[in-house]
Amino acid sequence: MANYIPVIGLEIHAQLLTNTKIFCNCEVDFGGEQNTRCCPVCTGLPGTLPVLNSQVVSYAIKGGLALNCDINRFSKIDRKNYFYPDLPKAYQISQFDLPLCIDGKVKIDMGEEEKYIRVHRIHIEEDAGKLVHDDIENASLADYNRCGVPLIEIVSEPDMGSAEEAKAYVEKVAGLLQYAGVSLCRMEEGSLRADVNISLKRPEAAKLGTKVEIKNLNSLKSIVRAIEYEIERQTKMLNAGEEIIQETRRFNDNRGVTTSMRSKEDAHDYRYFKEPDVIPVSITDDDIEAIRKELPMLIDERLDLYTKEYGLNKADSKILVANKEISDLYNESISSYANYKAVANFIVVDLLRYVNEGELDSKNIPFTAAEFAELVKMAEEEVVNKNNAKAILKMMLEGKKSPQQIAKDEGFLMNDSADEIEEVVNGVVSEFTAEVEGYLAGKEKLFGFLMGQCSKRLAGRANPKMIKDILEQKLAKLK
Amino acid sequence: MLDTDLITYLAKLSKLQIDEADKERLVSEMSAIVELMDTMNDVTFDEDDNSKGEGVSLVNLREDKPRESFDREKILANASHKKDGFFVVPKIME
Ligand SMILES: [Zn+2]
Repeated sequence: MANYIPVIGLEIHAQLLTNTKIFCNCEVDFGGEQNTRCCPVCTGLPGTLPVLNSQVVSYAIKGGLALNCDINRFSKIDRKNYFYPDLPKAYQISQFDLPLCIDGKVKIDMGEEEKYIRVHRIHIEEDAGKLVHDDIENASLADYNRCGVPLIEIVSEPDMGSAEEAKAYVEKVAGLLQYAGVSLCRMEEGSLRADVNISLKRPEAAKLGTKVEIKNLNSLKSIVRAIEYEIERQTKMLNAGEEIIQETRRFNDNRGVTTSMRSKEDAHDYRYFKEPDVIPVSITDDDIEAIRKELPMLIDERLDLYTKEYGLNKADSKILVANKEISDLYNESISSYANYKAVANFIVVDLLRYVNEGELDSKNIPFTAAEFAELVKMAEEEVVNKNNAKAILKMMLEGKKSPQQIAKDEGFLMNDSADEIEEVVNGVVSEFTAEVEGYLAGKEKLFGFLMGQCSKRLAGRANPKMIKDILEQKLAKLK
Repeated sequence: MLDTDLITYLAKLSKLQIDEADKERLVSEMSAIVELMDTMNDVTFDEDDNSKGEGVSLVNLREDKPRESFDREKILANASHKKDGFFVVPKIME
């Protein structure tokens, strides 16, 4: 059995977060009744003219900058011809030879190893409609709500060598677009989909093998499974001396296999030409700088800051940056309480539990970073004990605001009055005489029991170290 | 230049059925059309608008403001086949 190296490239389609479609004023929204977000432009009626949405261009450039791309100062819109019933115009408006963004790179993190995946280009285009298959013979039902929804297509170089690298790349691109605020990148809602190009080559071969394209993968899981299946299928074929056919395949999620899409066999001949209805776009250096200024600090810079400046470990840092809102909360929190590790820890261990369990939407955190920082500080300085700090967090998530106020109202504030602790200690010592005598006779384990009794009576509101000191002094006097 | 292979390929892309006997005739007819179109190449433009030139600037593009979409009945009015608010289209067999 010969060994082959997989050579993988990805085309990611991400929906831009605009209010309106790319060429008309119809609203873009997830869901909605069929054919209710349509007009003569997006349904391709004759005599209508598409008018390019400025936000589409700005967002595409912003996404491109987040992926380290160069921006073309002159960008042309083209017509891509293909006939399919989900496309009422019988062509898609896209970009061919002068896309908005070119030559980017994205860093992926494969455990110890870091690797750059090059981005060949990013162009803007319109989405097609949705076909629903009905029980009518030889007919499908078309919903054109998605026609004209703005997409960017991000084409990578064939720089990935495994399904894991492809997954890491998709996750990183999605993360960067989310940070840039240009796409939600929700695969389950169709705002991010990918096509995979894959070929195999022998280690010593200079030329790439024949590539196969797998279309329309809409979850990370199916990207990984489709690639793994395809590597296996092509390896078997090559080992049996068979030739790989250049073709488009689809992945069947239920059966876990890819199958040939014969209907798209010739679809590569798109006969692109310049779109006569849409004028090219000129971008100035000032435009680009203005858009660049809007970008927040991105994932790699934050990771560097967290690990190198704040001394956080890599695992926690990665968890924090995985979600921009959480990372923003962290950054703001440490500006009011600069205990980097304590704040990180409270987020990773306590707050994210609610996010992961779906009880908290990180986009709608009901308290401010300053309030959160205050809570971490109170726990760290033992103004409240750790358990009560968690309880306060829960109440803050339920809408109560100030952690100080909650602690006061709930009686969580640590009792640092030595007098009161002493009173409780005296009470315990005079009540549990047998245990005290036992302890004094050398049964040291009984100290824990007496300590427990004191804590119980103080209802967790006293500093355990203070209780311990006072109890020890008291018992020492009795010796 | 055009030959019967290209005619066969174009026919396939266009989903047209063309008899073998007609292909030779189509080669000569289409060659004449392409030749006519090639006269376009003799026209010189001041600027090559494919790679440079003036496009629309960002500020002059359309503002991203939603307007009411069309009423569904109106959108479907011109469709020859419709059902339950959908356009009925030919089924594509994979
Ligand atoms: Zn529209």
